[in-house]
Amino acid sequence: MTLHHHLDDSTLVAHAAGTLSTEMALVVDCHLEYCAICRENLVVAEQLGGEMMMGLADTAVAMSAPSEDAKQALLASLDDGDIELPAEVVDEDIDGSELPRALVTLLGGGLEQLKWRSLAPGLKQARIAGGGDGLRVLSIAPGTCMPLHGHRGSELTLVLQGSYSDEIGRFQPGDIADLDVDTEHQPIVDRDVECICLVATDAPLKFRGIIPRLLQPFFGI
Amino acid sequence: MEPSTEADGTRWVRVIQRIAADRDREAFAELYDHFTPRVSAYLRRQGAQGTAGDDLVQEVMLAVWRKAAQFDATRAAPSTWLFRIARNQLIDSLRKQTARGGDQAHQSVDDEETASALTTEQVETGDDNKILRLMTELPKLQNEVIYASYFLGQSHGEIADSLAIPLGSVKSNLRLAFRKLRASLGVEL
Repeated sequence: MTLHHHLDDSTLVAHAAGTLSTEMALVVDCHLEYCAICRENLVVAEQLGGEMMMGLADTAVAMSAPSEDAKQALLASLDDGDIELPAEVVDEDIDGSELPRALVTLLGGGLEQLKWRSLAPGLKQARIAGGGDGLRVLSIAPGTCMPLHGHRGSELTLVLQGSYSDEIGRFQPGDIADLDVDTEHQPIVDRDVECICLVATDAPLKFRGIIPRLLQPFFGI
Repeated sequence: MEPSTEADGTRWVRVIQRIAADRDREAFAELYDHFTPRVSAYLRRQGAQGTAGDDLVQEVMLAVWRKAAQFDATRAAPSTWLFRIARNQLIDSLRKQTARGGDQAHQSVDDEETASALTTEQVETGDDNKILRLMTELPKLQNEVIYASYFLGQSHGEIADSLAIPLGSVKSNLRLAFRKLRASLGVEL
């Protein structure tokens, strides 16, 4: 599936290194289901990790070598029947009409599982049980203009349904906004349908101006 | 240790396939001897020390035994596959600790490991690990952010704090370093 907005390389490195928060990692995994380009890049980042692991200096490695006892104990505990067969390899991109499997698994179903809470006219939010504090789903009414805002920390926004446009471009299902901290943007939801986004943050959004500042508590993060 | 040449990679592909198809314990012991010290060194750098660290290493190698049939040589090199398993087990163990309310998730690593960048001394001499050699040739900050990500397990925010640089610099330096390292793997930009 052809997407226009991808993960930043720095996010892929963090995902490969295992340093993203659970919430951010989930949104990354969801985007990866749509996007073969980012999946390939992730393999490169993991390959780097593997090469680095294998290239650690002998002195550090010798100090870390497990004991012969540990090895024999593990060998003795091996069970021939203890084998996990390959999961069906899914290499097809999902298309924009489908929800990512990682999200469906977490929700235990589709978006109808969500309990929406109104934050402001045209803006609803839902938390996902077990999804963590930094994870939410936003539903924004057609034609809604969001306040201009920047971000103090990292934020990932994945479009699930509908679309919006901002200074960077138009975001459709599967597209991810992986914005730098200094990027300010003012998303406007396209007119036809509401836009539903999966959002992971690790720091509060910061809005500019009086009215947006009044809105900030509603975003609740 | 032998260099991780392509021929070496092919050898380990066959070893993993023997473990998967024949449940071959000799093959597993061979793989264990070669990879476990590296897996262990990696996990220790991430703060998995002491008995908990030893247990985690054994869990990783047990997962290798269990998952051998899932290895697909067309999709990943043996070292990439092992790295993924080690990383996933590490994340699982950190999450379990967090869920138990423990604050041991990220123990500080010991003195020997507190270097903030990869130095030439830490890279094997005489081996052809191109990636590590390239890392030592990167500008200092790029080396540091890559090192902090992969070897210290620090998030972008933690790297920004520990190096006292803006979050945006962490990301831009990671991007630059990743592009150079990716190019060295022969991947098109």
